[in-house]
Amino acid sequence: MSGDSSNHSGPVGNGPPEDASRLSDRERVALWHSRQVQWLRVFVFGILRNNELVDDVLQTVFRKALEQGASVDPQSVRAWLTRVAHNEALLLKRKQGVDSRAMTKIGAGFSESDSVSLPIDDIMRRETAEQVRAAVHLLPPDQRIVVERRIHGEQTFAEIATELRVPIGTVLTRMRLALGKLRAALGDEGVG
Amino acid sequence: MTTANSPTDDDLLLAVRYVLNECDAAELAAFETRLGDDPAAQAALVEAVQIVALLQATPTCDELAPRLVRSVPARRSWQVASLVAATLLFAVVVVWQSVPSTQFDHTVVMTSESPALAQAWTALDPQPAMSEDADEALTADDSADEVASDVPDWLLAAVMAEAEQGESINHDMDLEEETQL
Repeated sequence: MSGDSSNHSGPVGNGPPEDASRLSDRERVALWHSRQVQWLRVFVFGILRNNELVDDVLQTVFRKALEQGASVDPQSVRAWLTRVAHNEALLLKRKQGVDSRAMTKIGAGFSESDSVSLPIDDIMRRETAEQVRAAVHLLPPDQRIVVERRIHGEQTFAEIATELRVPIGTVLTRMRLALGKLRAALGDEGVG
Repeated sequence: MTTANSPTDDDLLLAVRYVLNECDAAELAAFETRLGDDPAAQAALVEAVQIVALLQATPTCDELAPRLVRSVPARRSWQVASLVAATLLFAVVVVWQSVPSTQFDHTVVMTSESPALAQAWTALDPQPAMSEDADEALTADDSADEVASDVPDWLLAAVMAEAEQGESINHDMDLEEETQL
Protein backbone atom coordinates (compact mmCIF):
# COMPACT_ATOMS: atom_id res chain seq x y z
CA MET A 1 0.00 0.00 0.00
CA SER A 2 2.93 2.25 -0.56
CA GLY A 3 2.50 5.60 -2.17
CA ASP A 4 5.42 5.80 -4.47
CA SER A 5 4.59 8.38 -7.05
CA SER A 6 7.51 7.64 -9.28
CA ASN A 7 7.07 5.75 -12.48
CA HIS A 8 9.10 2.65 -11.79
CA SER A 9 7.66 -0.81 -11.77
CA GLY A 10 4.98 -1.70 -9.25
CA PRO A 11 1.95 -3.92 -8.70
CA VAL A 12 -0.62 -1.79 -10.45
CA GLY A 13 -0.40 1.39 -12.40
CA ASN A 14 3.36 1.59 -12.44
CA GLY A 15 5.73 0.33 -15.01
CA PRO A 16 9.10 1.02 -16.55
CA PRO A 17 9.32 4.28 -18.45
CA GLU A 18 8.56 3.59 -22.03
CA ASP A 19 10.15 5.07 -25.11
CA ALA A 20 7.37 7.53 -25.95
CA SER A 21 8.84 8.31 -29.30
CA ARG A 22 8.06 4.81 -30.49
CA LEU A 23 4.38 5.02 -29.50
CA SER A 24 1.54 6.90 -31.05
CA ASP A 25 -0.33 9.36 -28.83
CA ARG A 26 -3.19 6.93 -28.40
CA GLU A 27 -0.90 4.02 -27.57
CA ARG A 28 0.98 6.15 -25.04
CA VAL A 29 -2.18 7.30 -23.30
CA ALA A 30 -3.58 3.76 -23.33
CA LEU A 31 -0.39 2.61 -21.62
CA TRP A 32 -0.56 5.37 -19.04
CA HIS A 33 -4.20 4.58 -18.43
CA SER A 34 -3.51 0.91 -17.82
CA ARG A 35 -0.73 1.71 -15.39
CA GLN A 36 -2.08 4.73 -13.54
CA VAL A 37 -5.85 4.69 -13.60
CA GLN A 38 -6.33 2.79 -10.35
CA TRP A 39 -4.01 5.08 -8.43
CA LEU A 40 -5.72 8.11 -9.92
CA ARG A 41 -9.20 6.75 -9.21
CA VAL A 42 -8.43 6.26 -5.52
CA PHE A 43 -6.67 9.62 -5.31
CA VAL A 44 -9.55 11.53 -6.90
CA PHE A 45 -12.10 9.58 -4.89
CA GLY A 46 -10.29 10.74 -1.76
CA ILE A 47 -11.06 14.30 -2.78
CA LEU A 48 -14.54 13.93 -4.26
CA ARG A 49 -16.03 10.74 -2.75
CA ASN A 50 -18.34 10.38 -5.69
CA ASN A 51 -17.72 7.83 -8.40
CA GLU A 52 -19.57 9.72 -11.12
CA LEU A 53 -17.47 12.80 -10.48
CA VAL A 54 -14.36 10.63 -10.34
CA ASP A 55 -15.19 9.27 -13.80
CA ASP A 56 -15.65 12.81 -15.11
CA VAL A 57 -12.28 13.85 -13.74
CA LEU A 58 -10.48 10.81 -15.13
CA GLN A 59 -12.00 11.39 -18.54
CA THR A 60 -10.69 14.95 -18.51
CA VAL A 61 -7.26 13.85 -17.26
CA PHE A 62 -6.72 11.36 -20.06
CA ARG A 63 -8.12 13.73 -22.66
CA LYS A 64 -5.48 16.23 -21.58
CA ALA A 65 -2.89 13.47 -21.64
CA LEU A 66 -3.82 12.84 -25.23
CA GLU A 67 -3.49 16.53 -26.03
CA GLN A 68 -0.38 17.41 -24.04
CA GLY A 69 1.21 14.10 -23.12
CA ALA A 70 3.94 14.20 -25.75
CA SER A 71 5.79 16.81 -23.75
CA VAL A 72 5.60 14.94 -20.45
CA ASP A 73 8.81 13.55 -19.02
CA PRO A 74 8.42 9.75 -19.05
CA GLN A 75 9.96 9.65 -15.56
CA SER A 76 7.20 11.88 -14.17
CA VAL A 77 4.07 10.49 -15.77
CA ARG A 78 2.33 9.73 -12.51
CA ALA A 79 3.27 13.09 -11.00
CA TRP A 80 1.94 14.86 -14.08
CA LEU A 81 -1.30 12.89 -14.21
CA THR A 82 -1.85 13.29 -10.46
CA ARG A 83 -1.32 17.04 -10.67
CA VAL A 84 -3.84 17.32 -13.50
CA ALA A 85 -6.28 15.11 -11.62
CA HIS A 86 -5.85 17.20 -8.48
CA ASN A 87 -6.56 20.43 -10.33
CA GLU A 88 -9.59 18.98 -12.09
CA ALA A 89 -10.94 17.43 -8.89
CA LEU A 90 -10.73 20.67 -6.92
CA LEU A 91 -12.21 22.59 -9.84
CA LEU A 92 -15.12 20.20 -10.03
CA LYS A 93 -15.50 20.15 -6.28
CA ARG A 94 -15.96 23.90 -6.20
CA LYS A 95 -18.07 23.94 -9.34
CA GLN A 96 -20.37 21.16 -8.15
CA GLY A 97 -20.45 22.47 -4.62
CA VAL A 98 -19.38 19.16 -3.16
CA ASP A 99 -19.93 20.15 0.40
CA SER A 100 -18.92 18.66 3.71
CA ARG A 101 -22.24 16.82 4.04
CA ALA A 102 -21.52 14.73 1.00
CA MET A 103 -17.98 14.17 2.18
CA THR A 104 -19.08 12.79 5.50
CA LYS A 105 -20.86 10.02 3.66
CA ILE A 106 -17.56 8.31 3.24
CA GLY A 107 -17.80 7.53 6.92
CA ALA A 108 -21.00 5.62 6.24
CA GLY A 109 -19.18 3.13 4.08
CA PHE A 110 -17.68 2.94 0.66
CA SER A 111 -19.72 -0.06 -0.28
CA GLU A 112 -23.10 0.94 1.08
CA SER A 113 -24.07 3.75 -1.24
CA ASP A 114 -23.55 3.77 -4.96
CA SER A 115 -23.06 7.49 -5.05
CA VAL A 116 -20.07 7.43 -2.75
CA SER A 117 -18.80 3.91 -3.11
CA LEU A 118 -15.33 3.12 -4.24
CA PRO A 119 -15.20 -0.15 -6.15
CA ILE A 120 -13.85 -2.06 -3.22
CA ASP A 121 -12.84 -4.97 -5.44
CA ASP A 122 -10.19 -2.70 -6.89
CA ILE A 123 -8.59 -2.50 -3.50
CA MET A 124 -9.55 -5.61 -1.67
CA ARG A 125 -8.85 -9.11 -2.74
CA ARG A 126 -10.96 -11.82 -1.17
CA GLU A 127 -8.27 -12.99 1.15
CA THR A 128 -7.70 -9.47 2.37
CA ALA A 129 -10.79 -9.40 4.59
CA GLU A 130 -9.30 -11.96 6.93
CA GLN A 131 -5.99 -10.12 6.81
CA VAL A 132 -7.66 -6.86 7.82
CA ARG A 133 -9.64 -8.53 10.58
CA ALA A 134 -6.49 -10.13 11.94
CA ALA A 135 -4.58 -6.86 11.75
CA VAL A 136 -7.29 -5.05 13.70
CA HIS A 137 -7.40 -7.73 16.36
CA LEU A 138 -3.65 -7.53 16.79
CA LEU A 139 -3.90 -3.87 17.74
CA PRO A 140 -3.57 -3.00 21.42
CA PRO A 141 -7.05 -2.62 22.93
CA ASP A 142 -6.81 1.14 23.42
CA GLN A 143 -5.93 1.61 19.74
CA ARG A 144 -8.47 -0.90 18.51
CA ILE A 145 -11.26 0.86 20.39
CA VAL A 146 -10.43 4.12 18.66
CA VAL A 147 -10.32 2.49 15.22
CA GLU A 148 -13.57 0.61 15.68
CA ARG A 149 -15.46 3.52 17.18
CA ARG A 150 -14.28 5.89 14.47
CA ILE A 151 -14.72 3.59 11.51
CA HIS A 152 -17.67 1.46 12.51
CA GLY A 153 -19.21 3.41 15.35
CA GLU A 154 -19.10 6.56 13.23
CA GLN A 155 -18.09 8.62 16.22
CA THR A 156 -15.86 11.61 15.72
CA PHE A 157 -12.46 11.67 17.38
CA ALA A 158 -13.78 14.34 19.73
CA GLU A 159 -16.72 12.18 20.73
CA ILE A 160 -14.44 9.23 21.32
CA ALA A 161 -12.18 11.39 23.49
CA THR A 162 -15.16 12.53 25.53
CA GLU A 163 -16.45 9.02 26.04
CA LEU A 164 -13.05 7.61 26.93
CA ARG A 165 -12.31 10.65 29.11
CA VAL A 166 -8.93 11.25 27.51
CA PRO A 167 -7.60 14.28 25.64
CA ILE A 168 -8.32 14.32 21.91
CA GLY A 169 -4.57 14.33 21.33
CA THR A 170 -4.40 10.95 23.01
CA VAL A 171 -7.13 9.61 20.74
CA LEU A 172 -5.34 10.93 17.66
CA THR A 173 -2.07 9.45 18.85
CA ARG A 174 -3.73 6.07 19.29
CA MET A 175 -5.22 6.36 15.82
CA ARG A 176 -1.84 7.31 14.36
CA LEU A 177 -0.16 4.35 16.03
CA ALA A 178 -2.95 2.04 14.86
CA LEU A 179 -2.68 3.31 11.30
CA GLY A 180 1.05 2.72 11.33
CA LYS A 181 0.51 -0.86 12.41
CA LEU A 182 -2.33 -1.43 9.96
CA ARG A 183 -0.37 -0.10 6.99
CA ALA A 184 2.53 -2.34 7.95
CA ALA A 185 0.26 -5.35 8.39
CA LEU A 186 -1.62 -4.78 5.16
CA GLY A 187 1.65 -4.34 3.31
CA ASP A 188 1.27 -4.66 -0.42
CA GLU A 189 -2.51 -4.49 -0.56
CA GLY A 190 -3.82 -1.63 -2.59
CA VAL A 191 -3.06 0.20 -5.75
CA GLY A 192 0.51 1.13 -5.00
CA MET B 1 6.75 0.00 2.04
CA THR B 2 9.04 2.91 2.69
CA THR B 3 10.18 4.97 -0.21
CA ALA B 4 11.33 8.52 -0.61
CA ASN B 5 7.73 9.57 -1.12
CA SER B 6 6.25 7.30 1.49
CA PRO B 7 4.03 9.29 3.82
CA THR B 8 4.80 9.54 7.50
CA ASP B 9 2.32 8.32 10.06
CA ASP B 10 1.44 11.95 10.75
CA ASP B 11 0.67 12.46 7.06
CA LEU B 12 -1.45 9.36 7.09
CA LEU B 13 -3.38 10.48 10.15
CA LEU B 14 -3.99 13.86 8.55
CA ALA B 15 -5.18 12.17 5.37
CA VAL B 16 -7.51 9.88 7.31
CA ARG B 17 -8.94 12.88 9.11
CA TYR B 18 -9.36 14.57 5.71
CA VAL B 19 -11.10 11.54 4.26
CA LEU B 20 -13.35 11.26 7.31
CA ASN B 21 -14.07 14.98 7.10
CA GLU B 22 -12.55 15.76 10.47
CA CYS B 23 -10.26 18.58 9.35
CA ASP B 24 -11.12 22.16 10.08
CA ALA B 25 -11.21 24.65 7.19
CA ALA B 26 -7.58 25.69 7.53
CA GLU B 27 -6.27 22.15 7.70
CA LEU B 28 -8.46 21.16 4.77
CA ALA B 29 -7.23 24.00 2.59
CA ALA B 30 -3.60 23.38 3.50
CA PHE B 31 -3.84 19.68 2.83
CA GLU B 32 -5.61 20.15 -0.51
CA THR B 33 -2.86 22.55 -1.55
CA ARG B 34 -0.22 19.97 -0.62
CA LEU B 35 -2.06 17.35 -2.66
CA GLY B 36 -1.19 19.24 -5.84
CA ASP B 37 2.56 18.77 -5.70
CA ASP B 38 3.55 16.81 -2.60
CA PRO B 39 3.98 13.12 -3.45
CA ALA B 40 3.93 12.20 0.24
CA ALA B 41 0.58 13.89 0.73
CA GLN B 42 -0.77 12.28 -2.43
CA ALA B 43 0.37 8.88 -1.28
CA ALA B 44 -1.05 9.53 2.19
CA LEU B 45 -4.45 10.29 0.69
CA VAL B 46 -4.41 7.12 -1.41
CA GLU B 47 -3.38 5.06 1.61
CA ALA B 48 -6.01 6.69 3.79
CA VAL B 49 -8.77 5.91 1.29
CA GLN B 50 -7.60 2.33 1.03
CA ILE B 51 -7.28 1.76 4.77
CA VAL B 52 -10.65 3.31 5.55
CA ALA B 53 -12.26 1.33 2.72
CA LEU B 54 -10.72 -1.91 3.92
CA LEU B 55 -11.75 -1.28 7.50
CA GLN B 56 -15.28 -0.30 6.56
CA ALA B 57 -15.67 -3.33 4.34
CA THR B 58 -14.46 -5.64 7.08
CA PRO B 59 -16.63 -5.50 10.17
CA THR B 60 -15.00 -7.00 13.20
CA CYS B 61 -16.70 -9.03 15.90
CA ASP B 62 -15.96 -6.44 18.56
CA GLU B 63 -17.82 -3.73 16.73
CA LEU B 64 -20.84 -5.88 15.99
CA ALA B 65 -21.65 -6.41 19.64
CA PRO B 66 -22.33 -2.77 20.52
CA ARG B 67 -24.24 -2.39 17.25
CA LEU B 68 -26.52 -5.24 18.21
CA VAL B 69 -27.02 -3.78 21.66
CA ARG B 70 -27.77 -0.39 20.22
CA SER B 71 -30.19 -1.88 17.71
CA VAL B 72 -32.46 -3.22 20.46
CA PRO B 73 -35.09 -0.56 21.18
CA ALA B 74 -35.57 0.35 24.80
CA ARG B 75 -39.22 -0.66 24.72
CA ARG B 76 -38.15 -4.21 23.94
CA SER B 77 -35.91 -4.50 26.93
CA TRP B 78 -38.62 -6.33 28.90
CA GLN B 79 -38.86 -8.85 26.09
CA VAL B 80 -35.14 -9.43 26.25
CA ALA B 81 -35.35 -9.82 30.02
CA SER B 82 -38.19 -12.33 29.61
CA LEU B 83 -36.17 -14.26 27.07
CA VAL B 84 -33.18 -14.35 29.39
CA ALA B 85 -35.36 -15.51 32.28
CA ALA B 86 -36.92 -18.24 30.15
CA THR B 87 -33.50 -19.36 29.00
CA LEU B 88 -32.26 -19.53 32.58
CA LEU B 89 -35.34 -21.51 33.62
CA PHE B 90 -34.78 -23.91 30.76
CA ALA B 91 -31.14 -24.26 31.76
CA VAL B 92 -32.14 -25.05 35.34
CA VAL B 93 -34.55 -27.75 34.13
CA VAL B 94 -31.91 -29.25 31.90
CA VAL B 95 -29.35 -29.28 34.69
CA TRP B 96 -31.92 -30.74 37.04
CA GLN B 97 -32.57 -33.55 34.59
CA SER B 98 -28.93 -34.21 33.98
CA VAL B 99 -28.09 -34.70 37.66
CA PRO B 100 -27.41 -38.41 38.30
CA SER B 101 -30.47 -40.17 39.62
CA THR B 102 -28.50 -41.58 42.56
CA GLN B 103 -28.69 -38.16 44.18
CA PHE B 104 -32.48 -38.27 44.36
CA ASP B 105 -34.65 -40.78 46.08
CA HIS B 106 -37.24 -41.56 43.45
CA THR B 107 -38.93 -44.09 45.65
CA VAL B 108 -39.89 -41.33 48.01
CA VAL B 109 -41.56 -39.49 45.18
CA MET B 110 -43.28 -42.58 43.94
CA THR B 111 -44.74 -43.27 47.35
CA SER B 112 -45.70 -39.68 48.00
CA GLU B 113 -49.26 -38.52 48.36
CA SER B 114 -49.28 -36.93 44.88
CA PRO B 115 -49.43 -39.57 42.15
CA ALA B 116 -49.59 -36.88 39.47
CA LEU B 117 -46.35 -35.38 40.62
CA ALA B 118 -44.88 -38.83 40.82
CA GLN B 119 -45.92 -39.54 37.25
CA ALA B 120 -44.46 -36.24 36.09
CA TRP B 121 -41.25 -36.94 37.89
CA THR B 122 -41.14 -40.39 36.33
CA ALA B 123 -41.80 -38.93 32.91
CA LEU B 124 -38.93 -36.49 33.36
CA ASP B 125 -36.62 -39.24 34.46
CA PRO B 126 -35.04 -40.89 31.44
CA GLN B 127 -34.75 -44.13 33.38
CA PRO B 128 -37.96 -45.52 34.80
CA ALA B 129 -38.21 -45.60 38.56
CA MET B 130 -37.49 -48.99 40.02
CA SER B 131 -39.88 -50.94 42.11
CA GLU B 132 -38.90 -52.11 45.55
CA ASP B 133 -38.62 -55.63 44.21
CA ALA B 134 -36.25 -54.53 41.53
CA ASP B 135 -34.25 -52.64 44.11
CA GLU B 136 -33.97 -55.73 46.21
CA ALA B 137 -32.98 -57.82 43.23
CA LEU B 138 -30.34 -55.35 42.23
CA THR B 139 -29.10 -55.08 45.75
CA ALA B 140 -28.79 -58.82 45.89
CA ASP B 141 -26.97 -58.94 42.58
CA ASP B 142 -24.71 -56.04 43.23
CA SER B 143 -21.16 -57.10 43.61
CA ALA B 144 -18.41 -55.01 45.12
CA ASP B 145 -16.82 -54.64 41.71
CA GLU B 146 -19.96 -53.19 40.15
CA VAL B 147 -20.29 -50.65 42.94
CA ALA B 148 -16.68 -49.74 42.53
CA SER B 149 -17.16 -49.26 38.82
CA ASP B 150 -20.09 -46.87 39.40
CA VAL B 151 -18.49 -44.85 42.16
CA PRO B 152 -15.38 -42.82 41.44
CA ASP B 153 -12.24 -43.89 43.24
CA TRP B 154 -11.75 -40.46 44.77
CA LEU B 155 -15.21 -40.61 46.30
CA LEU B 156 -14.62 -44.04 47.76
CA ALA B 157 -11.29 -42.90 49.21
CA ALA B 158 -12.92 -39.84 50.71
CA VAL B 159 -15.77 -41.83 52.21
CA MET B 160 -13.41 -44.42 53.64
CA ALA B 161 -11.17 -41.75 55.08
CA GLU B 162 -14.19 -40.04 56.59
CA ALA B 163 -15.43 -43.33 57.98
CA GLU B 164 -12.06 -44.10 59.49
CA GLN B 165 -11.92 -40.62 60.94
CA GLY B 166 -15.44 -41.08 62.33
CA GLU B 167 -14.52 -44.42 63.87
CA SER B 168 -11.47 -42.85 65.40
CA ILE B 169 -13.54 -40.01 66.84
CA ASN B 170 -16.12 -42.46 68.16
CA HIS B 171 -13.36 -44.52 69.68
CA ASP B 172 -11.94 -41.42 71.36
CA MET B 173 -15.37 -40.46 72.62
CA ASP B 174 -15.89 -43.95 74.00
CA LEU B 175 -12.60 -43.72 75.80
CA GLU B 176 -13.57 -40.34 77.23
CA GLU B 177 -16.91 -41.70 78.39
CA GLU B 178 -15.23 -44.70 79.99
CA THR B 179 -12.76 -42.39 81.70
CA GLN B 180 -15.56 -40.21 83.01
CA LEU B 181 -17.40 -43.23 84.28
